[in-house]
Amino acid sequence: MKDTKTRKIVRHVILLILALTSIVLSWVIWTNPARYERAKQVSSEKVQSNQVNRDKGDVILPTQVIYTKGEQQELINNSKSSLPKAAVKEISSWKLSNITRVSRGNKERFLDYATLSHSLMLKYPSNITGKIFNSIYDQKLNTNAEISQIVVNVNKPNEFFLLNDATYDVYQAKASKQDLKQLRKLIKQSDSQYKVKETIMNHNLINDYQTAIKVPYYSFSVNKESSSVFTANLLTNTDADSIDTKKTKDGTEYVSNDTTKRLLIKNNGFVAFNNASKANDTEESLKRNLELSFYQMKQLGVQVDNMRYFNFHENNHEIEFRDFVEGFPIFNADGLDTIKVAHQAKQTTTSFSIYNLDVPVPTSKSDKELPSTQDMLDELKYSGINTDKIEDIDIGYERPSTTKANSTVELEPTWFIKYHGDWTSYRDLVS
Amino acid sequence: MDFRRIEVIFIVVFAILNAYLFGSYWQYQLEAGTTSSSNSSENSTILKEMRNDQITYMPLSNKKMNGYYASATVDTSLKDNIKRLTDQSARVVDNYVESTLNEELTVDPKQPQKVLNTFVKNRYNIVYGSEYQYNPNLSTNVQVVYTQMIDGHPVYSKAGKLTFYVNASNEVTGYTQGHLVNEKQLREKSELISQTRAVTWLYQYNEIQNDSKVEWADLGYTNLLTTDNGVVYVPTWVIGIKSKSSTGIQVKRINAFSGVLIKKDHEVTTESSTQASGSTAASDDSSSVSSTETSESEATSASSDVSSTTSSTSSATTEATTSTSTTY
Repeated sequence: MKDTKTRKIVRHVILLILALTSIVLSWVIWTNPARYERAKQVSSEKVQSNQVNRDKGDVILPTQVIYTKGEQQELINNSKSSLPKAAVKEISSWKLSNITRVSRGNKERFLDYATLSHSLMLKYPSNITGKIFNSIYDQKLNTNAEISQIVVNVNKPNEFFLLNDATYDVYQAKASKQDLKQLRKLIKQSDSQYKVKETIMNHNLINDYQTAIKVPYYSFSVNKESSSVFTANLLTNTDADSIDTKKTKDGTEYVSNDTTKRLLIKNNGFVAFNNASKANDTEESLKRNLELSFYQMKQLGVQVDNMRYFNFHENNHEIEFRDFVEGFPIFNADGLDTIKVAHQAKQTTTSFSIYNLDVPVPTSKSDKELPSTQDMLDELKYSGINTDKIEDIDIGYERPSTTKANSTVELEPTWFIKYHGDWTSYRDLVS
Repeated sequence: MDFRRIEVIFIVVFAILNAYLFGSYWQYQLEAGTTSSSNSSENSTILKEMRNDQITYMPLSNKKMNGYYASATVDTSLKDNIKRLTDQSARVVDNYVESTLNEELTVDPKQPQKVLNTFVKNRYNIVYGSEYQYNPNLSTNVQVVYTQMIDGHPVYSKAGKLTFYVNASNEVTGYTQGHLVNEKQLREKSELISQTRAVTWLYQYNEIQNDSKVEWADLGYTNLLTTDNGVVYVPTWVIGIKSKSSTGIQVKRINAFSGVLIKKDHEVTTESSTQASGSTAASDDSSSVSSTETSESEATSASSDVSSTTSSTSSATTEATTSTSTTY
């Protein structure tokens, strides 16, 4: 067969096309998000629930939104539809890149960024990591920084800052594809505004309420989860697995047949679940701890609609999730308000409650007036509390303990103070 | 080896490589599809099982919808308002208006709303009539139902319902009306399970008989529990099922937040092809209005003029208050 010039060109062209196609295909496969999704899928698939599937972005959420108008700051909220969720969704559609540190360890400059004119600030109750930020906001920022607040100028494009109040570091990311009109719309839609001043207390950016404020009451019905739900979700892998049951003075203990998993349901509704079937790497990052804890929480099968990521205790690698209502945390003296997951070296311990807030019910009480931050601190000082030792303060809701199913609890707003590592209500501290 | 041969070998090798790469790309795509919609792929398996059980259904939607917990109270001031009504004899029994029209109103049995929409909107005919909208799902040959709306969705509960009674000659003879006031949104909006998921859950709860048809699945609000300060309403998928072996339509409810079946002992037999098997107006919901306010005395027996059969629904009225704490 004679090798004509045309044939030669055709061969060259075919080879070139084939080579280019293989490069393109390899590129597409390597950058395909499905590669990463597969890993995630495994852990979430095990949990079967008939509720709407909750993602970690529904729980690792900013809880409060601050709008700075010129000099004045407001804690804003929308009782009709979640403002933090809408803001996160909006920012997720932007493209952020080129993160750089613009300030380091300087308290004053940190506050300047936190109170930037015409800005919206999303506040987390506890630090998240850059990687968690990337996965929730669908970004690809190259950073390992921890983040406690996100500040966006809503009037001027490309002013996007990530703040860390533990170190006073501030990072700026280049922002494109922004639709600031949407954010301004969200601000306009807010239906509650509290005048605040952002100040620092013990490395925590707090809301300083300059005047007395009125905060509404909330009521919820309480759902008592049956112990069989937890034994099925936590102790058995197959229906044939047997469980040992031991009644003790405090409650009932359930042990899986290989004795690696123990579930103690106390009479007051408090539950502790020990899982020693898998060792933990105590060097794990906050990101990994958060993700593992989230999946552990999902596995419990309890309702997590009001749950938010609240705290990370570094010494025992414990992630704490807490119930929130309208941006304010809910506290209960008996610990019936949190889900804590601790990843120790040899075991994972999860503590939670069988009494969970279920359905919101109308309340007869109108708003409660709370003193301004300064008045509250003055009163604490007057009753002999060393205010310099106060680690954090926030308005929160006090949830009374109940051991009755289908009862209604009233959440009463009050000041909460983190003192000696524990959150205590202002009334209890004063008395 | 000449250059030509090397080139041909390269072409073959690249062709094989490309085929392999394309194959794995395709596989990733498929997996990506199932990852993002693992729920809907689960649903399609269940829908297939349903088809195997000879269960047919109308086109179902996977659309994400939002809803919220709402509260409302039963209007206790209807007595004053019915004074303005004309051409009818109306009275209030246990906070429900019961009225007989002085002159029957002829309606088209296929489209009764054509005549009734205008009638309802007139404040001298129906108190707060503009708050009600026609509900084809609950309407039959013997009754035409209008409901109040929460967030643009019908209230499937007696307390928010306006029911017209139609006689054999397609004439509206009278109506009963419940009215809700002080409607409030209790918590922010939140995502609900899809229509498809609600129907597949119902099937998984064994609530859809073989050889039957899912006629409709409507997102509405139903009463979940009653407190001293009002009734709590929850977004609910209300699903109408017609069994081939019986003539009526069964109405089932799925809590659109939790996916839990809301059990109420009412098997509403709305309509049938013949007018003979009537229905009980009060039976299609349990509306447990706070027991202190109304005694629910035999559901006011308002429908007595048209209802010929009554299903065993007496216990339904108390059921709703306990339906909240089902397991997830």
